[in-house]
Amino acid sequence: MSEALLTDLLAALDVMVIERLPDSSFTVVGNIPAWFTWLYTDAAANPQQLRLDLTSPFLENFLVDAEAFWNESRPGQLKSGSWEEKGPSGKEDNLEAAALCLGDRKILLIELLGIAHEERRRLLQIAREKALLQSQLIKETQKKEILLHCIAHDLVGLLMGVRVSLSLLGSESLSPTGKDYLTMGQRQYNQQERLVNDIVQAFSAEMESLGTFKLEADKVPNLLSCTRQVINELTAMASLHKVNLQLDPATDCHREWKVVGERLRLQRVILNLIENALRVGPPFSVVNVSLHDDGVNVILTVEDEGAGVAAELVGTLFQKFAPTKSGQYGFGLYFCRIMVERWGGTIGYAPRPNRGSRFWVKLPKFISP
Amino acid sequence: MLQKKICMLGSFAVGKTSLVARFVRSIYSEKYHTTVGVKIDKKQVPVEDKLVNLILWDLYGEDEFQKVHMSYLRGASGYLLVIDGTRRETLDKALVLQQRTEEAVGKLPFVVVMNKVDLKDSWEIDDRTIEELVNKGWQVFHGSAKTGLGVEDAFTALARQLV
Amino acid sequence: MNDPSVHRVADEVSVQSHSLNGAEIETPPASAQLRELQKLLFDTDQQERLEQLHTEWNDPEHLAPRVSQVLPDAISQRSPEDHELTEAMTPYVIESIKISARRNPEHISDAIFPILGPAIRKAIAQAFNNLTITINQTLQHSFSVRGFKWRLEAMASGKSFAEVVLYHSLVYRVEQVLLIHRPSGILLLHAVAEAVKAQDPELVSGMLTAIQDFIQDSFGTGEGNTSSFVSDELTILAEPGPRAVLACVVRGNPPPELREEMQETIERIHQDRGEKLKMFEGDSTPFEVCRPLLEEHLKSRYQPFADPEKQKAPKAMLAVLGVLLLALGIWGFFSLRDRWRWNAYLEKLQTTPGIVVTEQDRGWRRYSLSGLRDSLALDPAKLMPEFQLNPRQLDARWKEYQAPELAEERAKKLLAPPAGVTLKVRDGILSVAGLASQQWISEAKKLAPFIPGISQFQWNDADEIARLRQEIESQSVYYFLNENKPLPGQEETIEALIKRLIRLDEIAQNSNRTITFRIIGHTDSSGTKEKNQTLSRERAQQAKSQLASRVAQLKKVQLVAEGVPDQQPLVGNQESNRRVTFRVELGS
Repeated sequence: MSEALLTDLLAALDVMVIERLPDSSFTVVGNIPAWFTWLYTDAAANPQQLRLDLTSPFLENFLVDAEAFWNESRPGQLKSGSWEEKGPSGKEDNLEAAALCLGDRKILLIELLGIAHEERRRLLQIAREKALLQSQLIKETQKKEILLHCIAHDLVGLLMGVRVSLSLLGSESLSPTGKDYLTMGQRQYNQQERLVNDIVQAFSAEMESLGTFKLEADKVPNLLSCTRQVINELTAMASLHKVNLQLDPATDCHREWKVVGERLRLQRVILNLIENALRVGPPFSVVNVSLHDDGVNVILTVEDEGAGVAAELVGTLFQKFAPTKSGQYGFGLYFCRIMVERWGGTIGYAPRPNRGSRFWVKLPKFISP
Repeated sequence: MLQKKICMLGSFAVGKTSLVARFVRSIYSEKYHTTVGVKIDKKQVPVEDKLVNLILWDLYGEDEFQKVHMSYLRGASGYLLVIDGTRRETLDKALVLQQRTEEAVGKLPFVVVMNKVDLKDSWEIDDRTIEELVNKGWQVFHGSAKTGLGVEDAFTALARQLV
Repeated sequence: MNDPSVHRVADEVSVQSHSLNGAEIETPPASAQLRELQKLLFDTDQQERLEQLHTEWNDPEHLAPRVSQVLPDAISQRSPEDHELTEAMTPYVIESIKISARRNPEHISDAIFPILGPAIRKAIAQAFNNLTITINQTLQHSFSVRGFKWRLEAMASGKSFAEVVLYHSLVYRVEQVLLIHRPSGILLLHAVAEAVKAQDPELVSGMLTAIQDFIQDSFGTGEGNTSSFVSDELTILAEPGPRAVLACVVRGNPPPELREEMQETIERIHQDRGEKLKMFEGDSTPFEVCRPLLEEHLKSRYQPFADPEKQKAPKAMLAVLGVLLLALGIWGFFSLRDRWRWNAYLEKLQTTPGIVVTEQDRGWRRYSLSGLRDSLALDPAKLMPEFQLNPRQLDARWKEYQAPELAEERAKKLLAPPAGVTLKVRDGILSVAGLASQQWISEAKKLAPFIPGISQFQWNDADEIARLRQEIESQSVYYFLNENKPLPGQEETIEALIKRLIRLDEIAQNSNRTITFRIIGHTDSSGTKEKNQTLSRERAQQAKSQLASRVAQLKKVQLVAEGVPDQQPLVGNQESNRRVTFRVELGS
C-alpha cells in the first residue's frame, strides 16, 4: 500500500498523522483534516512546520512523554488518553493522541474520537450513576434496617410481655366473664402477633430470624477475622484522627474465635464500638481492641483514651435515644445491645482506671454439635 | 503574564467539572455529566496587581473504571482536592489521591473544597473531621457549585498561594 | 369397684329400709305348726330363741347385719316386677350423692369420669364437624390469593416458592407428648417425635422442665381446666384427667381434633391404669404400656394443596379448546397473511413522503400501483421486501411530481449548508440554525424562495446568541487598585470580546433587532461609597471606549456603560472585585 493511500485511509478514519523530524519540528503527513483546522486554526496555518505548541496544553504535556518514548524507540504505542476540545461552534470534541515509532521515524497520531468514545462515555456515565445510586441505596438500607430492627425488636418485646401477662392471668381463678375477656384478649394478641410477624417478614427476609435466631454451622462468624476486617476498614479514619488503632498484640491469632452471631451484623457492632472509640480518642492516643476467652464466652474489648462517659450517662448508655453529649454515642449502642443480646451475649461499659472507656461484648463461644 | 496549571482532583461525581464551570463560566447544571477524559479551561484571576492565568485541568474522577495518570500532573503549580460532603468515601479517596500526588510530583500548594454545602443537612462528614483536616494545615473551603458559594474563594485562595 | 363411697351409700339404704323385712318370713305347714307351738310353749330353749328373735327384731343393731345379708337378693328379686322400689329409692340416692359430692368431690368425679367423657365428646364432635366444613371451604377459596401472597414473599425473601409454601402449609406437628402425674407433677411417660429428637435434645429436656412447671402451676392445686400455653411458635396443650395430665407440644396451629384425641387418650389411661395412678409412688414403669397411646399423637399435618381431581376436568377442556383455537389461528393466519402484508405496505407508502398512491389492486400473485412520486422519495419497490412481498410481482406506474414534504431534502441539496448548520422546514418556512458565514446566509436567503415547498427563509439565531451571550458574560476585565486602568495582559480577553461583539452585531442585523451591550464597572469594598461610585463608572467608561475604538461601526448593538459599586459579589479576594463585567440584553 502506498503511503498516500495509507494517509488517505487514516484521514477517512479521522486520524491525523504527524511526523516528528530530527530537528524537533513537526510536519503533517498527507493533508490536514478539516476538524484539525476547525479546532486549531492557528496551529494548522503551516502544515510543514506544525506549531503543536499552539494547540492545547494537553498535547504539550503529552509531547514530553512522547519524546521520551521516541528516544527509547520503544515498541508499541504510547496513548495520551482522551481530552476534550471545544470548537468555535461550542460543540465539544474528544481527541486522543498516540506516539509510535515506525523504523526510525517518529510518528504522532491524533484521532478525533467519534461515536465509540461517546458510547464509552455513556457507559461510564451509567456505571457511575449506578455506583452512586448503589452506595446511596446501601446507606439507606443500612439506616432502615437498623431502624426496622429496633422497631421490630420493641414490638416483639412488648408482645412477649402481653403474652406472658395473659398466660399468668389465665392461671388465676377468674369469673366466667373474666375468662371470656381473657379469651378475647388472647385472640387479639394472636392476631396482633400474626400481624407483626407478617410485617416483619414482608420487610426483609433477614428479619424472619428476629424471633428465632438460628445459627447455621457453616456461617458461624470468626470474631477475630470480623474484628480484623473492621480495623482494616477504619485505618484511614484512624490515621486522620491521628489515633493508633491496634489489635492487641497479645491476641492469639492462631486459634479459631468462633462465636454465636451473624457475621455482617457482628461486624457492624464492632464497627460501631471502634468508630465511637476513634471519635473520642485524642490525637496520638491508642485504641486497643482485644479478644479474650473465659472458657464459655469470648470477650471483645475496645479501649480508648478519651474522656470517658459522663457518670450521668452511664445508666442509659445502651438505651435507644439515649441522651448523648455532643453526639458521641447515638442510636448505635442500642442496636449493638439488641443484636448482642439476641445472640445470647451481653454488652457493657466500664471506665478505665486512669482515663478512657472500655466497651466490652461478651458472646457465647460456638461449640460445634 | 503568570500561567499556572491547576489540577482538579477527587473521586467521581464530587463536582469537579461543575466547580470549574461555575468558576469559569458562572453556570451550573443540575444534571450529572461524567467526565471521561481531560478538559482544560482557562481563567484569569487578579492577585494584587498581577493577573494570573489559571490553566484548569479538570481530570476525570477516579474510580474502579478509570485511574488518574499521574503524568497529567506534570508541571502543575497546585491543585484543588474536591470532596463531596454527602459521601464519606470521597474523603477517603481524596486522602489517598493527595498522598499519591505528593509522591508523584512532590509537595504542591493545594486547597480542599468540601463541595455540595447546599446539601449540608445530608452531609456525612462531620465538623470534627473537617477540623482534623484543618489541623493538618490544610486550607478547607465549604463550597457549592450549585449556589456558587465559596467557589471563587477557593480558586483565588489557591491562586494567591501560587504567586 | 372398690370404692368406700359406694359402701356408705349402701349402709344408709339399709338403715332406711328395715321395715320391709317382715314380708320375707316363711309360713310353715299346719301339723308341723302345732308341733312347733308345743315346742315353743314347753321348751325353754325355744322360748329363749323367741326372745332373742324378738330383741333382734326390735334392735336395729342386730337386725342390720342380717338384713344386709339378704338385701341384694331381695332388691334383685323385686326390681324386675315393678318400678316401685326404684322410685322409692331415687330421692334417697340423689340426696346421698349430693351429700357425698359435697363431702368429697374427688370420689364422685373418679366414679363418673369414664362415662361422662365419651358422651360430651360425641356432642362436641358433631358441632366441630360442621364448623370444619365451613373452614375448609373458606380456605379453598382463599387459596389462590394466598398463593400469590406467598409468591411475593418468596420473591422478597429470596427463598424458593416451594420452601415458603411448605413453611406456611405446615398446619401442625406434635413434637412431644407427655404424661404427668397430676398430684406430684412427676413425669410418667414422655414420647418425642424422631425429627425433634434428632434436632436438639437439650431443647427438648429444657422444654420438659418448663412444661412440668407449667402443669404444676396450672393443675397442681386441683383447679384448672383444659389449658394451653403458647410459646415461640410452639403451643403446649394440656388435657387434665383427675390423676394425670396429658400434654402435647405442638408446632403450628393445633387442630381441634387433637384436643378430642387427647381427651380420649387421657380417659383410656385413667380407665386402664386408674388404680396404678392412684397408688403411684414414684415408679413409672407400669405406665410404659401406655406408650403406644402417647405415640399415636406424634403426627404432623400439612395443608392440602389444590385438589388434583378438581383440576383434571378443566385441564382437559382447556387442552381441547387450545388445539381448536390453534387450528383456527393457523388457518386464519395463512388465509389473511397476504392481505395484511399488502395493506401494511400500502399504509407505509401513504406515510412515505413524496409518494401518493392513487390506485391499487391485488390479484393472484400480482400487485399493481399507480400514483405520484417525487424523485427524492424512496423507491416503492425497495420497500416491498420489508413486508415480505416480492418486488417482481409489482406493476407500478408513477408520475413525477415535487412533493412539499421533501422540501427539506431539496433545500439541503441546493443550499449546501456548511458543517454545524442545520436546516428545518415547517409549514413552508425554512429555518436555519448554527454557525454560518454572513455570505452563505445572504446567499441562502436569496435562493430559498425558489425551492419548491419553501415560501420563507428564517435565520434561527437563538442558539448562537445564547452561546455568545454566555461567553461574553463570563468574561471580566480586572483593574489596578483605585484606578481605571486595566491590569496588563488582558489583551486576549479584549480580543475575544471584540470578536463576539462583531458577531452579535451581524446577527442583530440579520434578524433586524437591537441588542444592548452593557458594560458594568465594579469596585472592591475599600474606599468610600462616593469614591467607588465614580470609580466604577470610570472603569466601565474606560472599557467601553477601549471596545468602541476597536469596532468602527456597530449597527445594531448599543454599548452602555454603568457603575454598580454595591452590587458586586463580595468574594474573599478583593482584587477580583476591581473589574468590569458585561451583559447582553436582547431588544425586539
